[in-house]
Amino acid sequence: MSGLSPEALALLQAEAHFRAAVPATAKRHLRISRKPLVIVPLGLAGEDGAVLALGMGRTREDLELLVCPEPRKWNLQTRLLRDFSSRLLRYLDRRAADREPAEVAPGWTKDVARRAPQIVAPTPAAATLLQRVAERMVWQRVDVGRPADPDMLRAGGWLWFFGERHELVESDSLLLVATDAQLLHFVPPISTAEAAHLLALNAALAPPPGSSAVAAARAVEHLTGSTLTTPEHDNRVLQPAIEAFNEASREGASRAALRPLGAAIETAVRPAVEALYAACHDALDRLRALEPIPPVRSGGRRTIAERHAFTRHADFLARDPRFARADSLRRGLFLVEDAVTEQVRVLREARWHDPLARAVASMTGDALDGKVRAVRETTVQLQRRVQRLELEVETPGPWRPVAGGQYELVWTETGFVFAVTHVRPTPGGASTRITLRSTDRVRDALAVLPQGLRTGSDVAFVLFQREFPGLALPDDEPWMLAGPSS
Amino acid sequence: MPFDEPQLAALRGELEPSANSARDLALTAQTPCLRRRALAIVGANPDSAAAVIGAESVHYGQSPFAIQIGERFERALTRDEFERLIEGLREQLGFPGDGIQVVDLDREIPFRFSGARKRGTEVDVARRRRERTDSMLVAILSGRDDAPAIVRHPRLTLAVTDSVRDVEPDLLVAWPGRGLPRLGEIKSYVDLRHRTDLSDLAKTRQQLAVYFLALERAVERLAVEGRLADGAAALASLRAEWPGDAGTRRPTIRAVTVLRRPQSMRPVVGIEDVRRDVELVQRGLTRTPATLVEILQGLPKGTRTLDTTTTIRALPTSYEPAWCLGNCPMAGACRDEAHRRNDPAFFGKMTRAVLAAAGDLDTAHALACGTRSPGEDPALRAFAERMRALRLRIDAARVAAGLPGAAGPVVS
Repeated sequence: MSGLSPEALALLQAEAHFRAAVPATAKRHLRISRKPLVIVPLGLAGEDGAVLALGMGRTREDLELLVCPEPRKWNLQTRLLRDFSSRLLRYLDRRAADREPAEVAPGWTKDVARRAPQIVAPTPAAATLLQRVAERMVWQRVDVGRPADPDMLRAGGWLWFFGERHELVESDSLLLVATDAQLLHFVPPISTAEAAHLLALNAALAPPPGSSAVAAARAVEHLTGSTLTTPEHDNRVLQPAIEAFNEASREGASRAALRPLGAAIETAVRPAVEALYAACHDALDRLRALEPIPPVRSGGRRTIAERHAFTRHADFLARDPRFARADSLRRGLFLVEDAVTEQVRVLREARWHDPLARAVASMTGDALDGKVRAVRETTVQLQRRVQRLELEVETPGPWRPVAGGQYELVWTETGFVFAVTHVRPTPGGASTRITLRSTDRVRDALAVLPQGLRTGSDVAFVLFQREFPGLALPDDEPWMLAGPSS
Repeated sequence: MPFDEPQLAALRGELEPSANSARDLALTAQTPCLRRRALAIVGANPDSAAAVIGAESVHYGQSPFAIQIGERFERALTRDEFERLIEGLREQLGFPGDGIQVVDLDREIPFRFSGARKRGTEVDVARRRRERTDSMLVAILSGRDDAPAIVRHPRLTLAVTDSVRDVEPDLLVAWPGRGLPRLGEIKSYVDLRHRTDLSDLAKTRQQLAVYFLALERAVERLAVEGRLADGAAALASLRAEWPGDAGTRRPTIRAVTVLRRPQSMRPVVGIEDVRRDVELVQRGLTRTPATLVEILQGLPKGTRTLDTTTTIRALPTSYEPAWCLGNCPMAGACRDEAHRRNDPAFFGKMTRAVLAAAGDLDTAHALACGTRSPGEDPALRAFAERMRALRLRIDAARVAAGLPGAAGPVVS
């Protein structure tokens, strides 16, 4: 979803309304693999977690379609999930096994996956359906004398990981949702509710020549755009086909006799899956055209974090895993800590590397873009007299800092932190002059910065936000965090 | 004098009567849309109104699979004298063992007729169901031995502002031997504990809230008619705790939800607190203009029925894509209208709120681009100043990134 402020989103929507889709970012903020695994699941209305069809493949041309002729029948559904598991494992196991030594923490080296995988789902509803499928596979029904299918268990464990990470980690690229990924980068001239339909969103982002974006979106919205076929299609095509299959199987028809009836169901769902599969690739191509920000490039922070997380989960699955139906309070707390920390990092990276994100943030004082008007050394009286670097920056229009906020200078490496000391509008109010004073690494700042920052050069700052301070659990943790009870 | 059913039928004209009054009323409480509310009050099916105004409803509708599963689940619960439902109430809510009496009004006073359906017959069946429900309620609230513990499809009457509507909850459940009637709703969606779809649960609760208002009214009426020995106690019992409830000081209104256990046709019986939803529905239904008379006053003179394009279109709407597209079959028409009028509501509630000072997208865009003057209005001036500053910053950033500004070509 768009990372814009409500004001900026409204402004860009007004612009898009009169023209066509407009960019919401100047760069790409998500990692896109060269050949990700695109999965298009179709469910059955009213049957949560039941899969009617699964389209999957890694390039535009190699779509493989798996269809369950009657998702409400356990054995037929299990057969589909087993087929799906083997294909999913084929993709993931190879990546999990292909490792190289890497430093995962200071002084600690271990073998980690060389490449992070990527699964692409068309819509958030599809991602949720995959999570339901994961639960179904992990807690598969086990009949007496028949053990759980180990492949299905492992595949479920993988899907579980992708689903949970997608839910918890800001801008996660291991499971990419085509609609959300596009809405992060573009503002279409249709509402967010309508943009939950992938075909409508794609049409609005790239309407055919001669058609307006809104008209193009309208033209496709009666087609299947997420995980459910339309009620009209169900009534007219799908239900009669499934009924015919059920009738024949009730009458004890042979496999050979059932095959054409199953094929009829496949014919009924194939166009929808194919359209969504192609739409996912269109979305990926559109996103690939954008220049990625460094953290999502190969070797970037987020790419490395994804490789590490993937490796950790592969190791977890290799150790006869158990899946809890609910998180413990302790695990919940750590997940919240990770999620909040990552949110802060992602926001900082977006503002740091993307001028458009910075421009929007500067309206609320969360960033500052301008020109250097003066660079000088100054002395301030703290406990003793100390030297500081002082910058005077001019930014167009009004600007107000966040109360008590400190700002990080956007520099090639880690930034230098500055505090705002003065803000005053220029006569006429066309721009604002801001005086900032360095607060840390003063010696470095004095030595390095004056060479790069000359009067008239462009400069940018982002709000310096401390990451989540950490839980800092005491040694004698309280009982509810599974610490000592006495 | 409130509008009665014949008067409401006359107002509906050619529009079909609603298939589920409680759902319509509950949905109505969620939106300030007057068009939707007028139709709900007169009991018209919104689908038929959508057909009249030629609205496309691509996002709306129910799949036959969803309808099928709903019917199958209800059949499974009520089979063998409600065996599965009673088992669920016993095992999950701690209902006492034997002697649970069940009354199924669908079987006792059916709406299905062998011949052609006649309005007179339907009205008669509805009356008989209401009377039977009244007598059962009296039995339950008086703690009589012959009082049923489960009533399927009781018929209650709800006063919606100045009209009267009948509603039929799925269940009326009473604690055997203790009375304490509670309303119940059967939903075929799967209970996934904390992962159960919250919006589904919210819709169910709001529907139950509508039923509760009707139940409360029925108990009040029975007390006034002198059929209940202690009316105040009977009313209080609607909000009292059930045996086995955890004690709470908060006033609550409990209702029973029956969901489906994953991959089976067995029930998961739960208790939901619908107090907040009752208040929400009450507030929604009394929003101004509240009464049907007031709504009709806003229509063109001489309007006698609501079944024409002119009349339906004359009813003011309040388009909100996130809600309307999923809940209203007329949403397509409202969306087109919003688009044509450059209404910021076309993009949603948040955009409408942000651009409220400008009024429409055209003005907002022009003020941001500096092609229109905000005039003397201080609110508009402040808005224009802010939007202009944001516009300039965004354009400068776009140019710096090699992207076209607001006046350049667009993404393709």
